[in-house]
Amino acid sequence: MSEKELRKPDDGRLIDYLLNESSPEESLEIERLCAEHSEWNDAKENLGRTLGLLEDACKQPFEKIEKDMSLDTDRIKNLKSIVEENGEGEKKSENYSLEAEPIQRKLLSSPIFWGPLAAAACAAFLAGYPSLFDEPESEEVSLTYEGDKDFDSITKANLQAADLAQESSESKKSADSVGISQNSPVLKKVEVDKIMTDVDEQLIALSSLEAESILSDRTRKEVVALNDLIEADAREIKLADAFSTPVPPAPLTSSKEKNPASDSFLAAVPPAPMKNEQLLLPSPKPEGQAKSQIAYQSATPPAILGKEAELGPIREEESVEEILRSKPKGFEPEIESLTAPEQKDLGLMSRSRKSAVAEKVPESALNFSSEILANRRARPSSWTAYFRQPGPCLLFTEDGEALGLVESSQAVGNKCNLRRVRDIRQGKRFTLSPGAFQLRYTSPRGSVVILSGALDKKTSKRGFEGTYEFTAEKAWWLDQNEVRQALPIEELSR
Amino acid sequence: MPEQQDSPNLPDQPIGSESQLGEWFEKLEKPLMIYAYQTLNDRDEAMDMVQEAFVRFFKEEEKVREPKAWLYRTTRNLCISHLRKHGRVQTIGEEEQMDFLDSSERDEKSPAAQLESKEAKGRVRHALSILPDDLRELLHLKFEKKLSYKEISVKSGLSVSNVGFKLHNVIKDLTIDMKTEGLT
Repeated sequence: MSEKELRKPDDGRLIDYLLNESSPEESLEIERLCAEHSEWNDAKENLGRTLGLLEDACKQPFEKIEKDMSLDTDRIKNLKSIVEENGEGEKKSENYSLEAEPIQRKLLSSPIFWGPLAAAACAAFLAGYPSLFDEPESEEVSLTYEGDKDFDSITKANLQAADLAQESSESKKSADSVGISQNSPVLKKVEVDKIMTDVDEQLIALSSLEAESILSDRTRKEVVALNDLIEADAREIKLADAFSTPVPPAPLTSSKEKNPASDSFLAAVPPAPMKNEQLLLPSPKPEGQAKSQIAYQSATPPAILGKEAELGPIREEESVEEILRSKPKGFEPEIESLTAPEQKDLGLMSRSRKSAVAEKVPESALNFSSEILANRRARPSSWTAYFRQPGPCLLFTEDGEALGLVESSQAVGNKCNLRRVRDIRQGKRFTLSPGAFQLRYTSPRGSVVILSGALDKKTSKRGFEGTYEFTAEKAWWLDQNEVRQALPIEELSR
Repeated sequence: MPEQQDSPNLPDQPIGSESQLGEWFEKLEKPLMIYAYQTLNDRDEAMDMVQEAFVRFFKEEEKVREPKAWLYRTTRNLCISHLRKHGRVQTIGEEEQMDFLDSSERDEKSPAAQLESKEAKGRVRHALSILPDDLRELLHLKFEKKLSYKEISVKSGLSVSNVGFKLHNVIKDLTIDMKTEGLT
């Protein structure tokens, strides 16, 4: 038998094997095939499931269906009419499709169709990575307004060839009509000026059309909201990476020291002027408290948001442009530290966006907390089952800081093993140091059991493999007022 | 809804077969009716569900890749929705979910898995119920009485290889159906 034939599972042989109808030799052969070929194993499992269901089904007596089981005439007539309608509908749609096709083609080839999409894409890109465009754009704009200086080179560098050709042909026609030579320097200047003006208009239209609606006046309120989001994100990272497999620690570099030749796209973004630690931890804890439990080893600064975050202390509700306008000329306040792109970004934003962003976070947070509060809490009847049975739970520090979802193994006494849930985020790593932690179990009814205890790394022969051992020392359940009520921890040892 | 079959002027059987509603209607009208009836235990409601399933099928026939699986799944979903709508079924979870943390089976099956398992069992029971009597008897002897092919052969008068052949076919077909319907 060829290798290909061997790989193709034989359902008959498998069924016989599963029904204990195979000879011992045949059984061994089937087991070998299943062990060697995943196809055989999959087929075996699939057939096994069906046989299990058949066995269950055969245990119960079959009810005989005496009645005639057909649809009545009315229903069949209805179905017939639907089928006929569908048939007519199909014919109609065929006719329509013949007519509609050219229209669709026309639409697709029309700039009206693609224009807004292109504008939206540009705006989204500008919104996401404004600093990528800032410097060249500002140079271009400043040069444009400088007028005659080097306009030929600017044109070559910035204009699309197709646009240029189109514009040139139009200019040529107009030049012909007034009898001006094609090589005339006047015509050349007029052409380029026209093109430049059009391009400027296009650029401004593109950026202002969508970007204006996206980028809003960022106020302190918004920056605080963004900081909160970043902090939440950082916590999530802690959660995801808390149980990651150890990797060599990345050197803690400042954003300015970051390697500009990095492959990462974000690495191309100019470094954030703010330190990560400040950004991620707006309310700094006493030194050593957080570090004792989590070793933060990030090498990727959130550069874009860092830039925005720096604006926080500068202003309360006014935009940078407004502040600038309100100051007398020559007065250069602390905004001097802002780069041109930052000021430009801020100038393009609308207030509606600002308020929308600022209000979004608290609203969702409120909804979430109200959902939780809506669940009436009750003392769990068998709280030990929460800890004894394997399942997911949340890991907290002693200070109540959520580190994320972990999977607990089967508990023995007051000990269980924990592993992180979810994947590691690239470039960031957090490890848990042995210490006091808490586990929180929530039932679908809303009952909550919290266990406090010591966490330690569990090492095997191969070293530490991401598993931690948790020893429960205290237990509580949360009542309806979110107050912890003690549970007898000794019940775990029974 | 009154039972139309009671009317002497309305013959039941020929209409379906003359209906020219397609091969899938011909093949699956009765099995689906039985399936819906087994789920709902009400003939009129079962007819409503099957009719609705076919209405949807005719509208999307060209998009449906596996008509048999599609029709069974749609009928099952319609029946479950109907039962829920009329309060005749409790979403799994309500009672079972409430206790699942305390139960010893917490680590074995989630409520969703239990629901799937129930659906799969119901589907297999239905498949058995529409089998010809002789085949059902073979399955009964094999799975309930735990007889070997040889013993079944003696009881049924079929050859051993014939017993094996028939059982293989039933099991294979059912496995394919269950897989296409996403129940295994």
